[in-house]
Amino acid sequence: MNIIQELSKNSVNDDKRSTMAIRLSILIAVTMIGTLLFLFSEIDLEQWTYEKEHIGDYDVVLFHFDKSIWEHLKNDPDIKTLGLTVVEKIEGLPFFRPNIELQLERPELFPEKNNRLVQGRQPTTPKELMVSKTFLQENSSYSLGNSIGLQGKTYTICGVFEDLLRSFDTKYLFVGVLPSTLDHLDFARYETIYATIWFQSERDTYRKMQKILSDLGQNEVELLQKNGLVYNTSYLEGKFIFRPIFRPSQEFIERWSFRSIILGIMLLLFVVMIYNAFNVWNNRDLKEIGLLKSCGMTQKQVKQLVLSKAIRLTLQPLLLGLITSYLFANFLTLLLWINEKRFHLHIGDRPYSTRSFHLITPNPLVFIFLIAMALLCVFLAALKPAKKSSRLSVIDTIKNIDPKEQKLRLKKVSYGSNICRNLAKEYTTSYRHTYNGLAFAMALAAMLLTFVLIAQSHRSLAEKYDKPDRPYTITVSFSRIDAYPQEMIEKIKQVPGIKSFHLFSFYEFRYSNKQNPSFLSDELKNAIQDPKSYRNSPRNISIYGLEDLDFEKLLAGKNLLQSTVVAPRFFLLDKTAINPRNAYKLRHYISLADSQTSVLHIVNPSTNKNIDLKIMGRVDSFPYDLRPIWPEQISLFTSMSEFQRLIIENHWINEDNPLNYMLKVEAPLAELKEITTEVKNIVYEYIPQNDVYINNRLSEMANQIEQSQNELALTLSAQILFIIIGLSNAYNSFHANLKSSERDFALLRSVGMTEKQIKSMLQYEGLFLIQRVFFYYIILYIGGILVFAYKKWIRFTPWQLAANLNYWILSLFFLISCLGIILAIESGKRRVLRQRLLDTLQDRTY
Amino acid sequence: MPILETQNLSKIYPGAHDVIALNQVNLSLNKGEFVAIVGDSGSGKSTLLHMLSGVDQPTEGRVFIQDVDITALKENDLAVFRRRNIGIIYQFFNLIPNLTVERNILLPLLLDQRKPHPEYFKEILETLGIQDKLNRFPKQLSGGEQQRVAIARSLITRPAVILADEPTGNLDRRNTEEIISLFRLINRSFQATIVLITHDEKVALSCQRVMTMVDGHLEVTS
Repeated sequence: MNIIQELSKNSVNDDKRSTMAIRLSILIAVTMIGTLLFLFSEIDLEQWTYEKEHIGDYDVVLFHFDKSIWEHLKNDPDIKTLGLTVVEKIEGLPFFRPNIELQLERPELFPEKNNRLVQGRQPTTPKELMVSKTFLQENSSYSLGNSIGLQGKTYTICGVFEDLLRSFDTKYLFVGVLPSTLDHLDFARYETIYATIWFQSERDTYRKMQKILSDLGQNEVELLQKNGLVYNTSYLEGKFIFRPIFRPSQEFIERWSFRSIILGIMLLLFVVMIYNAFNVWNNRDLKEIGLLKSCGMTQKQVKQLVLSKAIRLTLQPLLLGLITSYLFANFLTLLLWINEKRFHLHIGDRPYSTRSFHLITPNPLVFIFLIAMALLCVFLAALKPAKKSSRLSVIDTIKNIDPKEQKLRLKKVSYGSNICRNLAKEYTTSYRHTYNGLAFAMALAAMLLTFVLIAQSHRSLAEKYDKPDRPYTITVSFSRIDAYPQEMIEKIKQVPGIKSFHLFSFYEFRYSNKQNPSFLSDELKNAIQDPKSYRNSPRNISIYGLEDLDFEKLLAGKNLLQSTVVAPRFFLLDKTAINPRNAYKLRHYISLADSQTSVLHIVNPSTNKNIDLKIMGRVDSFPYDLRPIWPEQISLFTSMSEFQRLIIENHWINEDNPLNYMLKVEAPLAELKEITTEVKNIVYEYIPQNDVYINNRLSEMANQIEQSQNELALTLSAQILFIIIGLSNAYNSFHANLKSSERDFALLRSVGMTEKQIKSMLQYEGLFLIQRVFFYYIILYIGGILVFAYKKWIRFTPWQLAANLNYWILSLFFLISCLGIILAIESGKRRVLRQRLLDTLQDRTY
Repeated sequence: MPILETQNLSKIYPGAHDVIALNQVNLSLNKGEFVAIVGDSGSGKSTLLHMLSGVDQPTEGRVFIQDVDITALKENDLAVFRRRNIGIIYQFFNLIPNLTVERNILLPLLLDQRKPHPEYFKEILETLGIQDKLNRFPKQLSGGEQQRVAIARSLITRPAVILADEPTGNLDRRNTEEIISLFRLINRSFQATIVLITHDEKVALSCQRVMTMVDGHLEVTS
């Protein structure tokens, strides 16, 4: 071992206590950062795997092309695999449902693991087909292995997949294989045709596709806007492949911007912690470095020595931290899984099943990143002490003179004043560099904890203020292409325990400013044009059909009688939020429409002709609180009979565009489960199960409890870690600093300072340190709250977030950090008083 | 040819009132000389030693050791030169606490990544009487023993000159006499050129030549 390695090894091994303290700090920091990285990695991996399994691992899909484009793509050397999908509608078949969509694909497009396959296998030849489970149930003459004839061709049923057909769907889906040679394929015959592309080099997806489109004379931006071109963005971004030049999606940016802030602060804390501890420790060795320099150690060798010490201190806790962070991340996910298991319920009418627990995937990238980051942080933390040590003058170090020219802030000598306080003040001023570093590290740790608490505060505020009042505890949603069964509603009315219920339906149209130039109120127009405002123009018009009785009550409330109303006429919800980014219950509202407006123009989707919707009155709340007031929606209300007449007579409804009904029921929580079952049974008598979705407040409450328990587990873990960091950081650095100034205390004792006075001085030092911590913390706190509040997805003001913070936890953190300082003071005091004066003064401290 | 020579060496510390620590000092030493420099506190003795060892830079003048102008060397070259040609002994804190005696002695060679000459190393140890202490640490040695080890280290590279700054200042009378005897011994045995800073007249009189520093000027006394 060369002398530099030996010196660094001996230095590290000599002072086991300080070494242990620094190593513990590094271990905690690596564990924290590693846990976070493992959790992020696992979340992303699970998401990516899910998308890969359910959406696919292709790179891009191109729609609407002809044979010439196909030939071009086929011959492109950059394309590794080219899949083709054609969809043909065949009508008038002798099945229970008369139509089918025949989807033929190239075999490459069949996933390795088809999650929806319930029987048999995927087709491998053009003479085989997969059919849906519903088809076999409704056409009992067919089963797996049978032949089926379609348009003169005979296929064998080789597989059955799960599907969710609604009662009014008129077509089944069959899936087959395209022939291997497509020379005779009639591209014009198919309703839908798209190519799925895998490139040789995935990283070049965007660049290569742009080149292909350019060769074909097509504009990428236009195609993207028309959905003629779809990149598998989530899959590609999961592999960090972005649109050039580094243009990730908005979702990626938002996800990673928050993560980057947290990770960045944690890394900064890591660097500051290591720097503080290491700097103080290194300062104790300055004399030794001076002696080595006098023996001929060069600057480069001094730097190597200091950096070598830093690496030695780091390696063990770094390697251990890799393991502890992985274990801790698994521990947290186990806690979350246990919570999920405890609170699972029947949701809707399908049982909710929890997935089995599995260990987090030990992503090698996380390990590599963690090692690289930790080493980089230690290198950065040790760089300054290394440079400082190498440049020190031999004489200054040997004589223990600090060469930095300091501005002396000398005060007038005041007899009778508190000498311990004054000395402590001057001492902290002399060592302000060290104390500032220590205070900043503690403030950073507190700030990280505060971020966790701010997120918690935001969630609880959102829970309280960002949800509209909802008196209804059961929601039934169903789709139909005709009117709803009135008898079903009459039966539900008879269910005991129900306080109230309302049925309504809705249909949406696009809103056009051009068609309605004078519709919006001036207030709203000004808000939309204001560059500082977040207000956009409305996008949709929703027509709601309320039950006739409910509508009559609405009319009565406006002193209007149904008989006097010439249908179809509508009430307008004349209220819209001026700033939709505020929490729901804290929004301020303005008029949506101009007071003179009495008509709203829409386009008939069947005929493309204009329809005038006459507004007979205005309301300032959503009737019966059935739905929240959405900022980008114009809501009109009419009676159900008029609504159904309008929608159905105009043929706006078909299987692809059914009518959506919603039934909202108010029932007491104590009987909710029983009432839900009764309502469900009644609904199923009239509406097929596949057409219905039912959920109640109990499942929501279970989700909320689960979420808050998860949050509790995560925040508690974070709090414990940060508290340990605060405590160890406070103790280590303060204690190390005391140790390095032993001689100063020996001098004070030699001139007659008593034990009590020394203790008092140390206590004042601790107090000044705590004051500094609070000072830095308040600056970081204000900055943090402001940053949080002005991120666009936050709905509350800084003061609201601050007022809702869990200050008990924060106080506990500071209390424990102060405890760390107190422990350091006690330990330091014992050390100072234990030392032999003469040995210390004469530097005989071997 | 002198082994050590200074030419008009001056050191001025600027300030409200400039402090002239050294004033046109001209010194010349031949190989094998054993010289003491005495003077009152603040006369500039230690400053002169720092200039001679290259750990501080003069304001004016030059220092030549074996014809090499060390004042013209860059820091890195100076560090290397120092480890190969100059041995330094201080009053306090001469040894690295975490290294054994053997390593402390061999430190300049280890920094140079060179191996010691085994016989020469043995001779040093026997001359200084520390051959049985090689595996001990400094804290296990007495003050006198520590200074012996420091002297051994100063000899290991066969330096051009050994500079000792109050090497007996921290020792009792008996140890002082022992150390001074050792200096005389190594001066004779190894032909070591030694410059010894001291305020102790008795120590000074043990040397071949005595010079006096008075207010930054160097005068030959005897």
